[in-house]
Amino acid sequence: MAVWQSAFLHEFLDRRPEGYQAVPGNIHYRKYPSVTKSLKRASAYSLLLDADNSGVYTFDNAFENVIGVLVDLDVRIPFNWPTPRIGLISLNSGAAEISLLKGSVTTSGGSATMDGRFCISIGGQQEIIDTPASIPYRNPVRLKISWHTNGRLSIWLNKKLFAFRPGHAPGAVFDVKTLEIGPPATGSLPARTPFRAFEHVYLKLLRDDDSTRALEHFVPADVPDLERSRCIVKAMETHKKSMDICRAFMNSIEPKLSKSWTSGDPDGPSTQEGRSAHTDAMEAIRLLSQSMTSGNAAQSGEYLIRISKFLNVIASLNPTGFKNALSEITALSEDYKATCGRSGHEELEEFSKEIEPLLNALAMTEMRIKEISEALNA
Amino acid sequence: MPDLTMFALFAQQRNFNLTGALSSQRVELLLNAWLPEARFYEEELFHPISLDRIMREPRRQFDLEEESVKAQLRLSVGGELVPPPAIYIKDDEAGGKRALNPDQEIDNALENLDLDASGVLTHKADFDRSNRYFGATESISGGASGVPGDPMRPRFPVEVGGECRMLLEVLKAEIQIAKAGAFPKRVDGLPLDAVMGEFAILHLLFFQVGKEEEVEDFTLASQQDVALLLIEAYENDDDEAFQTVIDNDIPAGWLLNRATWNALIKYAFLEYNFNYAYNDYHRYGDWPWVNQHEFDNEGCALVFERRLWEEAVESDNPQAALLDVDPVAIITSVHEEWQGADKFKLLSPDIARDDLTVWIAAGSHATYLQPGDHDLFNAGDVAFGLPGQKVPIPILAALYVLSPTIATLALLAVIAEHFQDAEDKTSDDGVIIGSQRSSEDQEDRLVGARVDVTPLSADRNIYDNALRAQLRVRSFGGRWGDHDGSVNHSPHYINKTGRYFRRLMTEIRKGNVDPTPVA
Repeated sequence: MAVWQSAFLHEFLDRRPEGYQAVPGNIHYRKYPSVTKSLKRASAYSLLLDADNSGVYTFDNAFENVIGVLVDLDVRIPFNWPTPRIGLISLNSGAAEISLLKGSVTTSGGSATMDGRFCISIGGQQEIIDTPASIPYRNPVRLKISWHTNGRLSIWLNKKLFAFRPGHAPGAVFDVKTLEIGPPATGSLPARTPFRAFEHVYLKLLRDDDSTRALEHFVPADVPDLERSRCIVKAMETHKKSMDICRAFMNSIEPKLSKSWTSGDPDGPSTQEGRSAHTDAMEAIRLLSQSMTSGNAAQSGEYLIRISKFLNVIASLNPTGFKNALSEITALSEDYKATCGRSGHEELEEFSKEIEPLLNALAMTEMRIKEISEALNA
Repeated sequence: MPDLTMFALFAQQRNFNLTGALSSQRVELLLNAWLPEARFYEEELFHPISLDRIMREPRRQFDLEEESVKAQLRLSVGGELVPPPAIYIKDDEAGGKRALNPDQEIDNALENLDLDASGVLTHKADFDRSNRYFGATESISGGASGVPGDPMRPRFPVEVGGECRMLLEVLKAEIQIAKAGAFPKRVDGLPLDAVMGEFAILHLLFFQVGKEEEVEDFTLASQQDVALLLIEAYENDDDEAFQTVIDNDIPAGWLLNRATWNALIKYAFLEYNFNYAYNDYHRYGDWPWVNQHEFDNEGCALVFERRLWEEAVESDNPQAALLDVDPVAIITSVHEEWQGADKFKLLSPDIARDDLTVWIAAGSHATYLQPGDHDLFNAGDVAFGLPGQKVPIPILAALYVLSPTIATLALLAVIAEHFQDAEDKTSDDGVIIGSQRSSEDQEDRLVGARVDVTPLSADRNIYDNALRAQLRVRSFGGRWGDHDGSVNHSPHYINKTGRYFRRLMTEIRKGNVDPTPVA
């Protein structure tokens, strides 16, 4: 149902600090935390973590080869925190970290706000968003951070895009074994400190092969079991190498598709080409999926138009890179075909008839990629 | 063959009683008293209705039409034209499908001994057709579409399936059926009789310890035997016999999981089944992760301590005492069990009634415990393909064999990485059922709901001969919808007792629920 994998979700539906949903693992609090009724949601609760407390969830099996991180938080932030930095979330003791740098407090008309600057560290690169965010007193803020190995780092505040940074740790890949909710403050702390109140904590991760698994959602038929032959292993290796080539190419054109942006900047974070390429790519996938479930040939044709527009844009931004990427993938393809043919898989004959529209769409796209590459040569 | 006479006889001979000390009348009282408040999305077209309605409504409407319309509504099955709904089975000799009701009433088809595990009931795998028969046609104020505050009015009276199940009795009955080999099975191994449905929790009742070479075989059949012995000793209140079974009948290297056993003897569920004629998640969800199909079965369960009910029925005022027993928790179903998305919430004593609200997601009918948008929790791929294990990905392998369009597959996979969210929408602004405390501005949107109770008690049981008509519908073990080659498969009707129990056990393992019985 989705490409990104849910790793941990805590909605605080009741009084239990352990009332999370997560892939197998265990949570450990430095001190057993308190909960309190939510100020915002009826019959829901908040988890209270003071400056020397945190909750560490350790996954039984680490997520390996993570190339995307999405954190979604609903948290009340105290203004009288004892240190300049307020820790919010940390993965693997700092491999990825989200915190808020305290700023000045303004009081107006009976309400108070604090200017806070978000500090995000992912893949070994730190980013401090200079434009301050207005943090309300005693009210939770909804904060969503998304990073992908293509370098795109996005920050949403209260469901609106607040900042965007391209080129953040492009190509980074790491494992995730732990999620820490509310990393503690460091240094000398007073005996009693205020609480950070977490009302929603959600972590999703993207591994390097998750999108390949999701390809199954396109197929309106059950896939037959195949014996784990040498060729199937080679197919997986070839696909991984091809995806790495694709990602490297996309990273090469990313600076031409988007720019650094913060709330208040009248221009958006994406260039015109970036916006159209993004729209065409996403729409192409939707149309392909719809045509697979509806059997509507017109949607399949529209898919080809959209994917072609996308391909033309990205090829034009780095023609040499596009051609090189295609020739590298073609070499992989030739190597695969030389080693592994179609023979020996008669069990797929019936299946191939069921998914003929998908096979046709793939073949036409492959042809279009080659035509665009050849046009660049002309 | 769904030999209902044989099903009924088998159940009657064994005095199937899944509600323990509760009579059918008291079960009905409890199910009506604890029906959660359910809030629907304002644009929702398909509201909960009874299985009977889903089965019979298309034919009722068909019979009222002119012949020219009837010609369009008939379904082609194996070369025959059948009025909706059709019930068919797989039959290679008949060209793939054979209708069981080409010229007979649906009730006869449901009793047809040829109706096997391949059975399908369909009014056509198509949104427009389902909308014609079942979809809401106007808003509360008579408008053409639902908007916040003026939602679509349910086309039919809302009916929610209700069942009470004592967990130990459910396990016992399931094992009796399995041991006898009495009920035919579907291809997935579940009984073709959908009343018993699926519990399948034995793997949680016994577990291995020690070194592999020291662990003796403990087959499923042996586990069933031991479980029956344990249940018998428990029912006879014979602690010595219980311990003897543990000491002598559980093989070396295996242990009884006390937490599971305690949960089985301590808890009972009130299950609310929300049955919808169509899942139209494709109208609301995010492509490419949406789906659509005929029939949808979602819902929730309330967890009770059965001991408190048993004490209540022995009290001076059983009815009042029964109603004073609060549920411990609520569990709701969200999409597929394997995704790990089902919700669980402990209920505070004394305010449990006020805390019982569920929100139904538009189209998918996933059942949530909070309003608003819900980013779909999906841990299934992680749970079944553990990180670090590079298991073959079947579709990739198949596509590489059939059409090694390697650049395209890599490109599509890289684009797909940008689909982060699959959301469900829920709302406070739609139709509300089961409300006990809604405010004045919601009055127009309050809709009555009837609990359609499946009698599973000793004094009144769906297997009684007098309840044959209800058994015919409720026991149908085939698929409640067709597959036209593009639309997703429609589901079987599966009561979610096992699914809710497994969710409860997750919370017990985390220490959130203590299943230890009160001495």
